[in-house]
Amino acid sequence: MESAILTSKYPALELKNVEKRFDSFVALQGLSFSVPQGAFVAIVGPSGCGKSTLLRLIAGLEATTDGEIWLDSEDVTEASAGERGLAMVFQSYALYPHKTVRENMAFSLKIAKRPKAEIESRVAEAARALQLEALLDRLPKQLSGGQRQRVAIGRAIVRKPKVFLFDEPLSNLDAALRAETRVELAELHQRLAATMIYVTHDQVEAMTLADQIIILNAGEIQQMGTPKELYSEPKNAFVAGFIGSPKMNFVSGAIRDATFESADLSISGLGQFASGASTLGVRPESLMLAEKDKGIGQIEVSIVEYLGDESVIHGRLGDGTPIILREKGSVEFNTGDRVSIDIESIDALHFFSPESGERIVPSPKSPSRG
Amino acid sequence: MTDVAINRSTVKRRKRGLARKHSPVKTAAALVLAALLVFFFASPVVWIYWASFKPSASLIGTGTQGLVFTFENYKNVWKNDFGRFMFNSLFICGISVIISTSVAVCASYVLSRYRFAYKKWLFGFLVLTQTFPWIVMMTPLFIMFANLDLINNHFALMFCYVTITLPFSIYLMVGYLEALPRDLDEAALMDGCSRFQTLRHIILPLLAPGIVATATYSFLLMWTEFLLAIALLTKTSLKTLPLGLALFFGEETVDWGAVMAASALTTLPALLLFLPVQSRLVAGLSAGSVKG
Amino acid sequence: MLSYSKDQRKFVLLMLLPAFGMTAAFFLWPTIYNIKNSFTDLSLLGLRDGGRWIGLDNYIELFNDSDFKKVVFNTLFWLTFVSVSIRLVLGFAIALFIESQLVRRLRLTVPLRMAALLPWATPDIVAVTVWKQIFDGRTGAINNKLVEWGFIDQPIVFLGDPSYVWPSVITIIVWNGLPIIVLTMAAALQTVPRDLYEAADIDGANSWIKFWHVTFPHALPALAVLGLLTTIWTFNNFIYVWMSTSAGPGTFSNVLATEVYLQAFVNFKLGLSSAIGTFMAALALVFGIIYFRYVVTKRFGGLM
Repeated sequence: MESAILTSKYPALELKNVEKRFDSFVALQGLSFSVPQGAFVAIVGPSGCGKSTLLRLIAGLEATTDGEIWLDSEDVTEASAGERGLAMVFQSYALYPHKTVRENMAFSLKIAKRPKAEIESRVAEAARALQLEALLDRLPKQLSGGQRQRVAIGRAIVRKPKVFLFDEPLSNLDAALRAETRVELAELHQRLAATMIYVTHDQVEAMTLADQIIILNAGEIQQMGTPKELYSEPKNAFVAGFIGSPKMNFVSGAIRDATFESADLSISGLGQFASGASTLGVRPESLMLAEKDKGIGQIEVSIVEYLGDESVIHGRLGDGTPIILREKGSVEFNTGDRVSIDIESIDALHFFSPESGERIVPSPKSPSRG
Repeated sequence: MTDVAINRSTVKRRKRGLARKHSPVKTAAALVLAALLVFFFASPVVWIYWASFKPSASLIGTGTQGLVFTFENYKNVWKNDFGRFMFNSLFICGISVIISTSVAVCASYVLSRYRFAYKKWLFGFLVLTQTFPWIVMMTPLFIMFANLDLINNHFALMFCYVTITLPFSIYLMVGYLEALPRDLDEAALMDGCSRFQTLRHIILPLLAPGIVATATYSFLLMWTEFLLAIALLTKTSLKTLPLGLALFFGEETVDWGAVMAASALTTLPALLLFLPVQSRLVAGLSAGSVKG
Repeated sequence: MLSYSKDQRKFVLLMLLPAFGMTAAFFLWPTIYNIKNSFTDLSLLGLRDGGRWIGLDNYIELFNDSDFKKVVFNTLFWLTFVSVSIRLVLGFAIALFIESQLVRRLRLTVPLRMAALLPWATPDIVAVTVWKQIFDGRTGAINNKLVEWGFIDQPIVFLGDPSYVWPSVITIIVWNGLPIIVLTMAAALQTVPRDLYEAADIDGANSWIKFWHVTFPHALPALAVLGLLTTIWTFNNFIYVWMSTSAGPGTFSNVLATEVYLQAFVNFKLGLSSAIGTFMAALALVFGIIYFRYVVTKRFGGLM
């Protein structure tokens, strides 16, 4: 059974036109995607976008209003949570407070009436992998946050599920532990070679962990792709703004005669873009400081965050549009200073339709700098 | 060394400063008020137990006064079938509590965990039954049970007791269930539990303190219930404790010693059961869930 | 929350049916039967023959009867309004006292709370019983002391004298029902966040301002819920009046609950008793709807 997962010719998980309504409220609409065997897929989006509902639909904790959910070669749309053979790590960990770590991990196997010896060996195996051996006889309340988190993962591993589901599993940990656990999760994915679906609101987690990212907003998939695709070829302004930290800068204006003009900026040499009103998107790391009165325009510095290896400069254009740029090393600016900025390369620029938010794809002409 | 000394003296000064905030007059007034309150609350209860050991004659001022103690009153009530009443009460309340609490657990679990139509109406119905004047149902119930030949039938009374305690048991239990995270149910479902297994392995053990509090409260309500019992039980040998207590009020003369002994016997189990769960009930009550 | 799919319907129904089946049988049938009887002249002696349909005659009789007006007044004013107001005001005051810094420093908080538990744990019929003894005209403790100390020459028949009967009945109700208010309000007072007081101190507020702007608003919801519940319980209560005075002297302290009983089991007028009961239930329904809308919906609104 377990070996079949890796050799199966079916996707590990496939959603076909899934829809979820609560009364008249449409939580999810027309979702279709498939997750290859062994992939690590992150589902990200702002709070209220429907990502947790999506995970619960996959888990079987919530019934779909329309559409189909397939696991491997089976249609599980009507199957109950227990029948689907998935394991879930909850945001709150949801450890049974009256059961010891051992009992928590063994519970699913006990319910499935597995032989005692098998239960013991599988619990021991998972405990060893997660360094929980010394804690097996403790109750959840006697554990630290990080330990509880590992038990929750252990409880999932013990089941050898077809797919692991994670619901914001790191959000209750402090920053240091979160970074550490992120690495452990990546290692776990490597070792188990299992399919994992991971819901988070933190795009950094998604970027670092996932092979594939699904960006959800207002119940619809904005884009699904590799982290690199999402970063460099965002489909629309929402995705562009959501991925990357600090956020992408947006400046509204228009392209005319291969030149983008806004109230304060002017960028020429944009022959591959059609003329018309458009919103410029440029990431803070693609902006740089320019010599006085050179570059694409000027900003008024409002604050500088010094991070050691780099500085993040927050400023505003003349019309008040906020602009963020990242600069290596430290800079000496005061609030109110006017500095000139420039772009690193035209390839780093994105343009979006002001109406639909869709990215305007450049024509395949070889780009030329003006 | 000096640091420690300074710290100690500041602590002392602060303590004295706080104590000085309340004048001796205020303190004395508080002590008097507290004493009066304790007297008002406690003395009638103390009186029940004190008087239950006094000769009846001394209570009406004719017999010997002073420190005379006797078990005469207890012997007296025992002779007059009080043991029988106590057994009847224990039997009826015991069985009713088990049924009422089990039925309430099932209903409250579903009310707390599942979405379904008309739930608001079910809640509304529960609340209205709680606020309904039971006296109004006396006549119809009496006629109904008389027609079914169920007067002087303990099972008929049990049915009534289960039903009158159900609404607030459910209400109370939904409150306790709301305090249990839903993630636990869902984790159990993911672990392959059926709905009954989730209830049995996860919810029941965690709900146990709430179940105990609810059951105790139901028991107390049944233990002291008077109206339904007097309507449905007319045969002396079948009567419950509260009816037994009322029996000691004769038409003309009252044997106060016996009444006090009967009161003491009725109150004691209530007192012993009530104390351990009262803090839970207080918590539920400020949220408006218990019948007093 | 778990969602509702076809195979869950059975489970949900199965779990709800015993509870709601029984409650419906117990409450709905008698209520309907009661309303039906209220339009007849059914007598306890003529149960077998059934009653004759007399339309609204019972209700008309009631609303033209000045005695019935007095019963309604007794119920709403003496039994409910006065006793509930006293309990709420005294209860809140005592709770404030018990939770005050001074009482806490004197280490009297716990003893006072324990003392308050005693009346609460006392069953209502026992409470009435012991107070009847205390109030007794010939042998009661109060009369003994009052005579002994020379305040009165003749013992007062507290529960049999029109000028003393309501204050006496209300004393019994207050004794039995005050602790629930005291203890619940004391618990509510403990939940006032300490930093609110500290913030008020920093703002230079005196204790009067602190009470009106911090303590009182925080305690008000609990007080309102208790007030509503106490009103409902007291309005419906039969035991206190019946066991202490049997609605007497004469029918002086008669209330709706005792009137329902008297008409049915003393005067054998089941039809009239049912009409009074229906009237009483309608009033209780108003309280119940208020309770549902403002307390239950607030608390469990997310579930509905």
